[in-house]
Amino acid sequence: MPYVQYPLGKERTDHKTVKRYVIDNLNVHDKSGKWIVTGRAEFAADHFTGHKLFSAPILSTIAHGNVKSIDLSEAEKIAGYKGFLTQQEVPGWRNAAWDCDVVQWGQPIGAVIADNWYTALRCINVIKVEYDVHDAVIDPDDALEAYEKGEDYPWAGIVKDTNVHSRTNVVRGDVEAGIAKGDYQWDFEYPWTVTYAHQELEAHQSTAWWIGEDLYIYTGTQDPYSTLSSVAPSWGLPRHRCHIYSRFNCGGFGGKTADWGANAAAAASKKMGGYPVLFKNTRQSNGTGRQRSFSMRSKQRVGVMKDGTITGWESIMYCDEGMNSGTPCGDGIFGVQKTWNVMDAHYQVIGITTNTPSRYYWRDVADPPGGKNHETTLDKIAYKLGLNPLDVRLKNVNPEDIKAVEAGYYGSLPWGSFAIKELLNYVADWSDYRKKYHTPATKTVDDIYHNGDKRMHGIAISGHLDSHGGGFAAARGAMIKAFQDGTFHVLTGSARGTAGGTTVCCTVTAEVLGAKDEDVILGDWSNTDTGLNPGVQASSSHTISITSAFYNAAMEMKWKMFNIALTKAPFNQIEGITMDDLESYESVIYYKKDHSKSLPFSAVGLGNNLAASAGGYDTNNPNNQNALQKLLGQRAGGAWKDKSTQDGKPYIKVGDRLLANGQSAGVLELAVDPENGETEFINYYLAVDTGATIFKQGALREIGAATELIHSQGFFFGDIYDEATGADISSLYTEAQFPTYMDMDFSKHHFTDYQSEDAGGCLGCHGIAEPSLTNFCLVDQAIFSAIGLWVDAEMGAVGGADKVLKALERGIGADYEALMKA
Amino acid sequence: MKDVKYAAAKSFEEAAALLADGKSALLAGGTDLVYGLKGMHTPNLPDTVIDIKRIPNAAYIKEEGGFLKIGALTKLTDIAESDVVKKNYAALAEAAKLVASPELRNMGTIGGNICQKPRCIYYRNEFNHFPCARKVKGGTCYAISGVCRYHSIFGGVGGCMAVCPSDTAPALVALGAKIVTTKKTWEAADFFKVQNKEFGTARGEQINALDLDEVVKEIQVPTPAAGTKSTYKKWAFRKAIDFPQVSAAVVVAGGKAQIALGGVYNEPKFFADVDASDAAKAADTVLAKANPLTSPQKRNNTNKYKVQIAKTMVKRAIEGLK
Ligand SMILES: Cc1cc2nc3c(=O)[nH]c(=O)nc-3n(C[C@H](O)[C@H](O)[C@H](O)COP(=O)(O)OP(=O)(O)OC[C@H]3O[C@@H](n4cnc5c(N)ncnc54)[C@H](O)[C@@H]3O)c2cc1C
Repeated sequence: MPYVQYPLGKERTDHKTVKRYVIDNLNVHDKSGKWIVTGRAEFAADHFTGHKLFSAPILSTIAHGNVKSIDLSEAEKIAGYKGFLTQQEVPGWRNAAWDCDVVQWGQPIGAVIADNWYTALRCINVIKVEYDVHDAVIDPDDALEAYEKGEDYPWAGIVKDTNVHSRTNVVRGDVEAGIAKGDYQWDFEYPWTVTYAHQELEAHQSTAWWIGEDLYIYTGTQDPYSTLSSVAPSWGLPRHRCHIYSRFNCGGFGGKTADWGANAAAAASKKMGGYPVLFKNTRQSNGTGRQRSFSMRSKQRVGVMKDGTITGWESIMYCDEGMNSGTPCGDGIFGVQKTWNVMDAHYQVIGITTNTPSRYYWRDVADPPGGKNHETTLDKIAYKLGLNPLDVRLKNVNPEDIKAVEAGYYGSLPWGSFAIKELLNYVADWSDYRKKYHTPATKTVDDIYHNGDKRMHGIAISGHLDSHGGGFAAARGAMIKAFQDGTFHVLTGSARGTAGGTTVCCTVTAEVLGAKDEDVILGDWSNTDTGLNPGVQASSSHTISITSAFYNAAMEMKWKMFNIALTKAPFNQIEGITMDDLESYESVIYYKKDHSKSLPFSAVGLGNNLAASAGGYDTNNPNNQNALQKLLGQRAGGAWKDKSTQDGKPYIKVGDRLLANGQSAGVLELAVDPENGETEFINYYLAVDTGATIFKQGALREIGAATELIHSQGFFFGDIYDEATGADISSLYTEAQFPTYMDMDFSKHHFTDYQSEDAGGCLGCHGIAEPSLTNFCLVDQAIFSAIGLWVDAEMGAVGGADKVLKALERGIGADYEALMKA
Repeated sequence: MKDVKYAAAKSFEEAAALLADGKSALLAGGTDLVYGLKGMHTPNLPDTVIDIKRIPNAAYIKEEGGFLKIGALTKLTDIAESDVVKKNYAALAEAAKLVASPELRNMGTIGGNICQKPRCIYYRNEFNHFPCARKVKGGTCYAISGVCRYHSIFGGVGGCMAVCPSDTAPALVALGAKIVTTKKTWEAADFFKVQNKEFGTARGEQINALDLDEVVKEIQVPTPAAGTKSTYKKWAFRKAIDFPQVSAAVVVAGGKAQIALGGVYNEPKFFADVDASDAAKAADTVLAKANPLTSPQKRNNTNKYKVQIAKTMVKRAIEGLK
């Protein structure tokens, strides 16, 4: 394992208990975890037991049109029926830009309020809705055809008078000249990729109540801050009158985007005179309402030299955004644009709206579809030239001295992908890739699988830069609460994630205070009433800014604590003493000159003191900027703009905008059973560049989680649509396809953090799982290596036996032969 | 959730009498019934549930009079773990073991397993969003023109392409079992006949031919002749918990195989006395008449893959029994 320990920055001489920023096997004292497993945690639905009403949404059964009438007469006869909310009464349930009420099958068109959730469902079951049905656009190819040929297709009604609008267009150099320069010019086309929904364990729930003009909501969201930002203005409330609590409801239990559920609960409560109402999704409304990855198809043209150098690359990507024209599908070019050193290029993403569920971020920003398309092109180039796919990548990866090329949002940001080279070489060595590599469809797995039948062996490598989040622009809040016994609670205002952000906040606080790790634990996070400006998503891009906020808050707490300590024995006996004469380690304050004079934190009598701070990179407060700089020393996460160095180390100037990039590389080895299409992971290696890892155990856990997600993406996830109605009928919710540990052999997943000098990752905690997800392209690349056939993504999981068998109808190796001939 | 009345029966006969109104359903383990009540996917849900869990002496496994006798309330876990079932009726033990997950096997009964409702993704859609032929008179089968990847590869009774989702059903058919009810004793193959004339009613939704007031009391599996071997192979997208997309129950004796396929047709698809000497050939014979669906959808429009998987399962099942 590459394991570089970085010394701390010079700035951090202010306290001696400085530890290395690598903490192995840290025991995380997470009080809330204990509450959850012992059943003491209260989720949104647990509040006001016996004293609340319930609400559930009714879903549209058409994909596009208007609600003509809603017949509530049968529902009103059901005992316990309390009322009905129309779509117009719930902020956010109807978008003003739409030409109609409904733009997607399964869209909520109203909600029932009743004395019991099951009563609400019974009411929904008897409500009759009449619609004016408009023609719907379900198929993105139809939508595209209308755009390209100007034919008279219906519009999806989401963007005015079109289904298609161009989002991103990057022109670099002269692409035609670049392609012409190559020894070869090749075209490749890729069909639509699969879409995946963000699935939570629980259907979304929010409980809201009003007291006068104050709105209170317990809601399941990973991002209470954004929920506050969207809910408060919806009700014309100043922020301080809107109180969002998402305690216990986050991470796997909640969701990313809950404002529509929070708003529904708020609307229902308002209608009921402020009485608490729990709004809860049904399993199906949860499934159809979830945001999912966009799907993409692309046409690519490349010019390539015999040695594998790409001289020109054009990639035109079409992206199905579903009913969300705000999909960040432009990110689909991120990997190809930032990782590969092609100076004559044209990358374009065309977004297409359809009357299907909303697409948005899915675990990863520069989403897997783009990566999948471009990684496959790299493989195809390698195969056609008879080169190893690793060598083609190494030939084209950015050199160390690369500078930003394009202008604009991404272009103005630094390049930062040179560590991909290291990562690729690292995973290749680790997995013995070069030795195991073979021509597609030529090698069997050594194990005898079934009565002498052998399975085909596949191996693939991939790696690239990926973005995660748009930088550290947001100010983040932090609060530390001290207790009489000398322990502290960290109130992050951030969601409970796998392992990252919140825990790092504890670590930073403990270090600055000089406290024992176990004396600083997570308090009541996710509570906007106790944090200043909180609401970060744990383990994601904003961790840097929140940890800087904790650095500040801890400094403030330390200042308070030391000053109180100065009034106590033995320090009050020392003449002329100031807080500069004190230092602390392991929860004890010492007189610097004579360590026999000390006072444990528990004897300071801190009371219920609070310290708070905001952090963030581009806040106007210079303290925040300095805090981050101090915290990080000379290293920072994110790519750095102009590669400034100080003492030979990367250095980020205060005020520079950072991009939370991540880079990772993986090798997948799998076996394909050609008789039944079954595919099995044999070994999966994943290395993620975490930059400096603060919390190794957590970092590894999150990287491990990424391998599970990649496995799941390959074999289990994948939306299924009914193309006639646009209904998402994925068995994810009607059946039981959400995988568990019983579905995958985790012992075949190998993963590591990799602390490169390229500041592509920060602090071992932001988004480190997510950037690696693009590596799921390894699944079909490795299947190609096994059987010489590309599986069409279509719908459902890519590695599904149905897809593999469909490909096998073409005959083992057929696609490989065709590729070589063309 | 459907608002239902509750009654409890002390005997199967009492349960049958309580079912006479035609608007009631039995509650055994409840793992299927309650799911349906919650999702309200059909207009034909019962008004009353009749709890049969308290019926005494209805959960047992014993060999008696040339039969393996299993009480209708026997839990799937007990069947999967029974030494006598594992030894002489391996296909049934293996099938029971592959049902769902440990939790569901601990709750679910064999009676409930052979009386569960179809699992078609259109049929099960909440609030009857897809009013299909099986549950609504004059309804259509959405899979024919829609997503058919999970559906029948042998056509469909009454135009319905939903498959029999029960894991134990093919095993019982291949083993030549009898189903003893409050009205009669059925041959398993007849028991699992879908009643297309009743489509659009609660009876038509069933995966079997039971009358609405008929209760399964016991399963009887004839004790096989010495040298008989059997096995059950299941293929599903998920291995840990999932309904069979394809399964094969194979019983081999004297060079002949009794083969019942699950997940490929409305009923277990039965093939009697197939020559087992050449496994691959036997598999081809069994699947020769398969007629996979292709829908007009652009993507995911076929379930052809099930044919190949079924062939492989049959071949490997027979080979494994040699
Ligand atoms: C997530 C999930 C996964 C599943 N996976 C599988 C799978 O892989 N394979 C599989 O085979 N099944 C599967 N099932 C289906 C099923 O729930 C179980 O197999 C179980 O055996 C049903 O038994 P039960 O006792 O719980 O039935 P209940 O839910 O109590 O009853 C089911 C139906 O049978 C009727 N019934 C019950 N007992 C009798 C009787 N004695 N006479 C007449 N009618 C009766 C009921 O009225 C009801 O209509 C799954 C279910 C779930 C929820």
